[in-house]
Amino acid sequence: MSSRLELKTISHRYSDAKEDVLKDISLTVEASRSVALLGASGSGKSTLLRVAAGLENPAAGKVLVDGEDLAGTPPDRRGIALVFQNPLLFPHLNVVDNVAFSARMAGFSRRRARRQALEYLDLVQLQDFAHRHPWQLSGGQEQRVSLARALARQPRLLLLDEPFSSLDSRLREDMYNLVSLIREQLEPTIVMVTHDRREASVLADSIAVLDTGRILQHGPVPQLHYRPDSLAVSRILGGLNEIPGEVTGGIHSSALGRIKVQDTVDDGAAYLVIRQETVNLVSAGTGVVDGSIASIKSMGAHTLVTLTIDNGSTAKPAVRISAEVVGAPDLSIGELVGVDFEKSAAWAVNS
Amino acid sequence: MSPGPATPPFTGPATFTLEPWTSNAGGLARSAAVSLYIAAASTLLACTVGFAAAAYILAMPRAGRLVAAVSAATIPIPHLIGAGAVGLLLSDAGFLARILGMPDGGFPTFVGGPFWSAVIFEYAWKESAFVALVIVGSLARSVGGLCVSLYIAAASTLLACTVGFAAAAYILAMPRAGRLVAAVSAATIPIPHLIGAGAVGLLLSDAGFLARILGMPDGGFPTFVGGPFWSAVIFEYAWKESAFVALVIVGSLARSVGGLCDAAATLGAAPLQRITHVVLPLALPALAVSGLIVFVYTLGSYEVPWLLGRISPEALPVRAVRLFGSIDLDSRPQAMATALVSVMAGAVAIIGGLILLRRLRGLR
Repeated sequence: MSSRLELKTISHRYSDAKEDVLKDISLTVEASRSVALLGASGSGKSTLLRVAAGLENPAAGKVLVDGEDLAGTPPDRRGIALVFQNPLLFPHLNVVDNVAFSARMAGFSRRRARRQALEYLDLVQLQDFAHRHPWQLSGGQEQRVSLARALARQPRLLLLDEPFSSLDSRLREDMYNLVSLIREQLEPTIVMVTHDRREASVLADSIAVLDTGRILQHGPVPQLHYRPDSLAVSRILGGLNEIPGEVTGGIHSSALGRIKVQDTVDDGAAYLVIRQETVNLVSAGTGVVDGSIASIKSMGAHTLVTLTIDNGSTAKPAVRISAEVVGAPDLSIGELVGVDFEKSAAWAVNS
Repeated sequence: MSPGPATPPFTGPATFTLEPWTSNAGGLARSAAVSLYIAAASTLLACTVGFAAAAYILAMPRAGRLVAAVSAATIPIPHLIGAGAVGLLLSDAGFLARILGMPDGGFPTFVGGPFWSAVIFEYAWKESAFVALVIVGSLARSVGGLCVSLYIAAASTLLACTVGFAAAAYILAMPRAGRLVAAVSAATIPIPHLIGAGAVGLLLSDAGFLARILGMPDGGFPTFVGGPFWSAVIFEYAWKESAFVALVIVGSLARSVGGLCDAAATLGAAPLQRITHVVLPLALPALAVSGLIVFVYTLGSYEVPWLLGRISPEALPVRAVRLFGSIDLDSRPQAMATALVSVMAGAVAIIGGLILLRRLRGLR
């Protein structure tokens, strides 16, 4: 159930489209690892999964599984299972026969296929629902059956195309736990598509960020959050703070002052990106810089506080920085507070 | 009312009395019950045997003639003669008892017995012949037409559903190339059957377009038009109705089947398995509904068998229309009977189809 997937310079264009939906994409997923393709709607992430599954033929590039080129191999012979956003259970079959479908297609007897299906239903804790019909299940149960059906295929690769996006937050948490359990027990190679950066962070070992048909960056989850390659990656990962300035010899100069950044950034105009979760609010005069509070927005257990930094010039637009703090701090609009963050972790990206 | 002095009947002034009814009410009731029992049992048996005989006569035209002749010969025999013959046959010292070697008490008491068996047998025998000949007389012509109409309807429906399903599967599987098939199907539907029948006639008749293209205009071409298998009629219906079937299936599956086929493909289903295990089961309700509509329509449709079919036997609608248009007013009841047979066959088909649809309800 664990194979290595390589996508090499994949390009694809739909017949009625004016430009490529996938542009020269290369991605490697090691066996038993989980990679999330993160991007906005229309970024091409679902198309990439369909290409890997054989449901779309790429205009250029190769799909390799364990080094085997799958060009010309139809989807039913690739050994790649795909769980869709919609559960797509067969309405004319009950739950156990849905899960037994792949075994039946492989020529196993109905009895043997059902026996095997029950094992996978047990894995997703739905054995008691074996003889129900799809329309008698809730959304979460349907998606569990869909997952069990894909696993019963015993695929070399498991592809998940936003399978939990239609579930409520509690069901989604249940599904995350289930996927973790499946990863522990079966160690499948997983490629999942999502536009939810939290889901990607919870379920994947690494994230590949897609935008307009290109992979902008692929790396471990913390790297994507704290060391993005570009403003676009930072934004897609939910980063709010982009402080404009100039980099000279590894020093970023801005309204926040002179801050040492990574050596790899080029001299010239650059943005300092600081995760809002790492920004602390302190008493005025004790932080890196002072700012006046422009807005306070509750995010449930957290509060997003946005401050305006005086950049000493009326010609330039005011610099804003956001801080995500725990609880509901006793602050008011216009109040002057200090902004503090770990300077050694500062990260800049060229504009 | 107290009984008055005894007076001889039918003398003196007229008086009203219930005495004749009540003095022996038990005997009267018993006689009535016996008569009702004999009548009911004889009728039931006569109708059963008569219907079986009629079915045999209609189904087996040659062997049935003997049964029909025997039945016809039975009718003029007076019941008294029949009763005598049955008595000689079934009494405890009769012909049957002697043949079976049971003349001294071992033979059942048919004549004069508690179940009035010999009486019922006599009536059933004589009246079953009457029932059989009435049924044969009323249905002899309609049954031929009914068989032809059912054959045309069943064959056309089967062919239309097969071709229609194949076309629908193609349209759904090949979005681009399928557009042409869908357009041709949609364009076919508004063509009236009369025009379609004319076109098929020009194409398939023994001096038609196809025969000329194939170079067989002088007898070598099969008899599609007016032939024994009603081929041209069935072809016309199958062509026109398959387009209807295809569009109904496409309409019912267009939204869902693409995703389900993709899911089936990633679960290891080969293209043919996707059709047999996904598309066909999902299409069954639409196929059943459209097939039922095609069957009932074809059963009652007039123009095509009139134009492309044989002169004899006639399809039910053709016969009904001819009889309704006849200058002989005596034909009207026959026309109504023919139309009624057509309606009843259609009703049976609809009821059967609805039962089937209820069983398919699970295939949502």
